[in-house]
Amino acid sequence: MEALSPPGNAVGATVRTPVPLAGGRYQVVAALYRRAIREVTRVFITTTLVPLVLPVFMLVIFSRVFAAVVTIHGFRGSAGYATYLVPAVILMAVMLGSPTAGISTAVELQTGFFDRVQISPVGTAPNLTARRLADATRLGLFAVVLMIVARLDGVAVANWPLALFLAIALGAWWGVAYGGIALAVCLRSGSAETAQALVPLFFPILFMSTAFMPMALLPGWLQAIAHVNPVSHLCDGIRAALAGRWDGRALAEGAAGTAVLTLATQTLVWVAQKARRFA
Amino acid sequence: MSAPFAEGSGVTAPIVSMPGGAPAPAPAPTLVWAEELTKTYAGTHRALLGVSLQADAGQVVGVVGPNGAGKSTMLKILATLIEPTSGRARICGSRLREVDKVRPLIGVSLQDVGLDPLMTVEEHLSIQGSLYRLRVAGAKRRAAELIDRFELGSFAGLPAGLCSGGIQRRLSLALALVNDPPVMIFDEPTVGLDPRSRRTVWDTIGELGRDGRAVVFATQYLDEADLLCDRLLLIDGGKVIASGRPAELKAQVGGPVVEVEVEDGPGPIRPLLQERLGSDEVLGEDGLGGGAKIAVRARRGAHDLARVVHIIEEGGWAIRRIALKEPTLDDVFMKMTGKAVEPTLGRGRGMDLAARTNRGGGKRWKP
Repeated sequence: MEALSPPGNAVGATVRTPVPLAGGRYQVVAALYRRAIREVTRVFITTTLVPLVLPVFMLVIFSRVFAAVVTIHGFRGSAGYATYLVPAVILMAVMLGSPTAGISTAVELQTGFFDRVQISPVGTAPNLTARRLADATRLGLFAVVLMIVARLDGVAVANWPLALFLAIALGAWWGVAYGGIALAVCLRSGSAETAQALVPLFFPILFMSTAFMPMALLPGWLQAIAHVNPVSHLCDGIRAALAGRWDGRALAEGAAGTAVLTLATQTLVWVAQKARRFA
Repeated sequence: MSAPFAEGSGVTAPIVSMPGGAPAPAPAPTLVWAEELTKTYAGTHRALLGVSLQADAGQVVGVVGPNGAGKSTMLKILATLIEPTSGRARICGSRLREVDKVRPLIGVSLQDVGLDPLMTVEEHLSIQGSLYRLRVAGAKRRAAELIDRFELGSFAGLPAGLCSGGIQRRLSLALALVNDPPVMIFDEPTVGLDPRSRRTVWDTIGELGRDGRAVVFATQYLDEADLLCDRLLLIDGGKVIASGRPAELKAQVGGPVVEVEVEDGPGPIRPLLQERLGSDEVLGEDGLGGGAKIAVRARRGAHDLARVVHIIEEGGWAIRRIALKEPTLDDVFMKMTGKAVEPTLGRGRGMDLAARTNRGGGKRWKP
């Protein structure tokens, strides 16, 4: 065996120096965000069209099948079941479309792209941030599409700017927060299938809220759950905006619940990310 | 032997004086240094068992061994992708744990090419520039330079998933050079490539070494290690079984030999050769169907070959085949381990668009 001499701390003058790090971190995030958006457009059907199929079906068909429910006592004063369903289908769409960041990350782990990013000077954080921002953009677009479909379907919207703003902002925020579960799971397991297996979770979350039925029509035990389910408050807040009203309490409670979910899932992502870091 | 750097934070060249005061050319500084690296996975699987390595500026160092020898683990540690269980390592003087200092200094192409099948060749280079925090204009300029250097122009707009394995590998090497680093780490850069693509990769590695960089690369192909490397580490079962310059290692298994196959003759051929050449010079004899195969030392190369031919023909044997054989790294590996390195043939580590769109896959080996 040869004897090895330990080097000191400096890079010698004879050693070539790498290109200096010049760009800021926001530029890195911007470049990776553009990449993530390009990717969405390249797999448009699976990332954008497919998650909208069921919500559009619910809005157009389900609302007609169950149109008569608005005559029940608890629905008194409602503008119609389709109007009632608009917030529900927006939240359904963003939950259906939310695993994209996680699935894309799992694919990056499988192809080795994740490793390439990890050993770059910026690490994985800007890529994950960019992916979640791209998800927010796409999920916000879902809200826009569903609002347009609702309008074409005859839903009356009393305050378009307010309703559209709340639908986009709250829908995208909820979707990104919820998508953190899939992202954390994929980071941990490296398996896209795990994220896909989590998709049906949106059913109990929506049904155990006021998304499809008013609080008064839910069984007592379910009312207790619906009260603490942020989806109920988000739906109530958006619904009020559709009717031209500002329901500050519902919006505050919905935002608080979404913030808690964001914090929880971001912690999971951070823990999973840390487990993969070199140091 | 390389020159150690003076301790300190500044940029320091080693100073060497010659008798009479004339400054001697400074020896190449050590850019990669690792000592007694070990790695144990899942608490039980010992992938590396105290491997040490050194690569100086301008040197190509090969980590050579069969599948499962620990080559990739070694390189992943140097690439700051996984932590060693124990041992020390430095890149350009910085400890591996100082990832913020080390990562800008290394260019890495791992066994998985690490490409996004949906991104084009040009987009990959541009994104890689961003990851190394080049400004937009600088990243584009660098991408254009590398596309030109690696002859990727015809594929610039093609998604990586539609490129051949050879193009993907060339792109992977180009990506490792985006930040023009002094240290290059390549894991099995030619596995699964056709001969022409292999040759291109060899040329690139040779150029990088001549360019003053330290290149550490893993391979299971002993021929390319012999061709490219200034220094070699033969590893097996996570341990270094031999290290040194290829010529030194080959010298350990002896000099050239004449291998000769003869038809059946007037009697056993071995005693004749031992009598004429000396018993130590005849290395072995294998019986062949209707003949014999024997090896004889050939310290004087062609001269000894001619002598063997003369002795055999004079004795009345007919030569079926004869060759002067230089020792190879296979012989070194065989001598050290008692087994040959058996490369995996045609195992490309590329990917395709289907892999991306199916979005499936198994569990990743957890670092």
